[in-house]
Amino acid sequence: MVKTYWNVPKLNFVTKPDQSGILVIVYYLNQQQLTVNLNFEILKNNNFKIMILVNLIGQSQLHLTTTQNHLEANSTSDLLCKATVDQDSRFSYYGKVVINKAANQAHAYQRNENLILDSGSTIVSEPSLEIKANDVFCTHGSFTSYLDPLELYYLQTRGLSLCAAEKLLTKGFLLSGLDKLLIEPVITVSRLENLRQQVGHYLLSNH
Amino acid sequence: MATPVSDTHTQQWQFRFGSQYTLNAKKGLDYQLIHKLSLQKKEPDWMLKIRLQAYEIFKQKKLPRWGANLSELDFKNIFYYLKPHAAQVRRWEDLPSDIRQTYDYLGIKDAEKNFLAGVSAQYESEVLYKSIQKNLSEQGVIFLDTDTALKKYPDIFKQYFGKLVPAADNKFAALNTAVWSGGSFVYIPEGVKVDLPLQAYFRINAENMGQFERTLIIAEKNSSVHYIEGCSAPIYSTASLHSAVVEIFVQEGAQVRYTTIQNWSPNVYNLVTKRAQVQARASMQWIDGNLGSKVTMKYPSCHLVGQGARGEVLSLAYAANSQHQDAGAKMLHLADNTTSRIISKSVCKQGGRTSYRGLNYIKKGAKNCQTKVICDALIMDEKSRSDTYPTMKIDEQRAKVEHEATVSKVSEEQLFYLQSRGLTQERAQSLIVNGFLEPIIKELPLEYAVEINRLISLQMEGSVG
Repeated sequence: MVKTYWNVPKLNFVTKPDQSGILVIVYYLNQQQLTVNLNFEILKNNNFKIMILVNLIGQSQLHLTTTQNHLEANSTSDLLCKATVDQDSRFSYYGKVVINKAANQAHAYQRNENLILDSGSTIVSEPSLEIKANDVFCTHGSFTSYLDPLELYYLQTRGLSLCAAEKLLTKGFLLSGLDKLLIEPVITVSRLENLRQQVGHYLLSNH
Repeated sequence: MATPVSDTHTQQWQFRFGSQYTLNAKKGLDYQLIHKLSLQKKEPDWMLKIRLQAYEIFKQKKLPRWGANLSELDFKNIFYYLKPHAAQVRRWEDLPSDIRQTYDYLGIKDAEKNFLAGVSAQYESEVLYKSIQKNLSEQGVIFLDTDTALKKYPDIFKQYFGKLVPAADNKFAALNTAVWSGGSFVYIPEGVKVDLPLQAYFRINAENMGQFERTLIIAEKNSSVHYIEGCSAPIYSTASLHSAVVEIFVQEGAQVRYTTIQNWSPNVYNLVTKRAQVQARASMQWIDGNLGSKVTMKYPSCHLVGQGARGEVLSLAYAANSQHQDAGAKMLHLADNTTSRIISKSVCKQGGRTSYRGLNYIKKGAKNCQTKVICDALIMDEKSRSDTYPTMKIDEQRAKVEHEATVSKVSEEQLFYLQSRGLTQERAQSLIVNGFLEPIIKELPLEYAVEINRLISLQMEGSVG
């Protein structure tokens, strides 16, 4: 099962037992403000990949809360949220992983990667783990940085303008998340390529 | 309310010997007590004024709504000031025998003999025993209890006291400012490097006794010091409160390392405010071990205010028997090229709960800052719980912020392997836990590292099955 969502303000996704799938959730905001709640209820023998891609420009603000709620045993959820903020925008991310008492053998992963593209933009990242079972493996990570000046310099030596180099690196950063889905059995190569183009077009329509 | 404790715990903590107090003040806090306390300490008027203002703030401030459960904390049922019957003495032999007996149990005398530069032992609310090696005084280093420092060096004291942790900071900082008593005062003059660690042994020894130490460390330009504070408290039936404030000023190019091992008995509320201000090219390192207490809320912080300042926190938390260790760190990057690192390791078992709570803040305009947080947690059984609540607030583009956290149980493969090499399951588990905590323990002075390794092995006994 592969599902895509575009700028959804709210999502309460309840899986079925023994189900696997990929969820791709995309936000592109230009001069907009949005508060989003995404709730994922993970049941027995589930294996879900959740990919959230965000591009904010023109003083936009996105307040995003995600909850990976592991309710039953032997379940896996892997959430990756990648965001770029430009033109005085603000991205606040609150990512929660909850492992209930009954959810032993749970594997829960959460990762938030952000790129700040101009001096006026800001990021708040608050990942949290609440673990009430003991036989689990959970990790979360959060990384925030800016475009590497050496990479920009290299691309310019190859003939790209600074602006084009920035666009290329930003696009690469956002879409690289999708490449990781290639090993998933639920998605084919052609479907993934299709998804890449769709998401790329939606996210970077201003470019 | 009494905390149920196991037999092992009772044995571990049962080493209190009776003491006599000069001023057996009544429980609870009011203006009269603060006046009395200040009068007895023969303090200047300005300090009494600060205390009274802080008491006003304390009454107005509410308990924090986040973090550990403090609802059982009864402020009316606590002694706020007790003074041991002995006056301050210089030599160990001059200490009253009952106090000496308790310290002997803790091994403080041997520790001093073998290793320490100076000992300032806190017995109840008053520092009784202190000895500073001659060469330290010759270098101009001041290492006193905070009460004496106020009398002897009022100018330095007034310049720094409450400047980093003002009374209005939080309810417990206000309480501490109102009733503070004892603690250490360390002043390192410019360019002086103190080779041996300075150490204070803290000790609570009266039922329902609140300890409100106030520690002030000032490291002038290009100086360096390592300060060690260790706690140990015997067992009581009702909850006790420990609420210290530590302020550290690290001036340009100076280096300060502050090591704490908190090992309060399992009925103590340990609610501490610790903060350091780090100037240009200076470095501050907090090493924080939380083993005991009923509830701990402690977040050592570094305000990196000068260019190129560095802050580091190594935090270790161990929670068992319904303990809640809510520990973490705060790094505020307020100047260019500042760097920081937080490493937190926690273990919870037998219904214990460990939480990491932290803040990494990059101020707008503070360029090329780097900060990294690593927190790892081990959950030993199904009754225990572990949480991670980090916050990263980045208001500047040119910043690199990293955070990673892992929570897991002891790996079956590792256990199986060690057992296949002939170790019992118990021994294997304790070996794995010690290995897990190794990155922090190796930073501790040797005697503490040995103590903690032993303590963890002891705690692991009977934890299998």
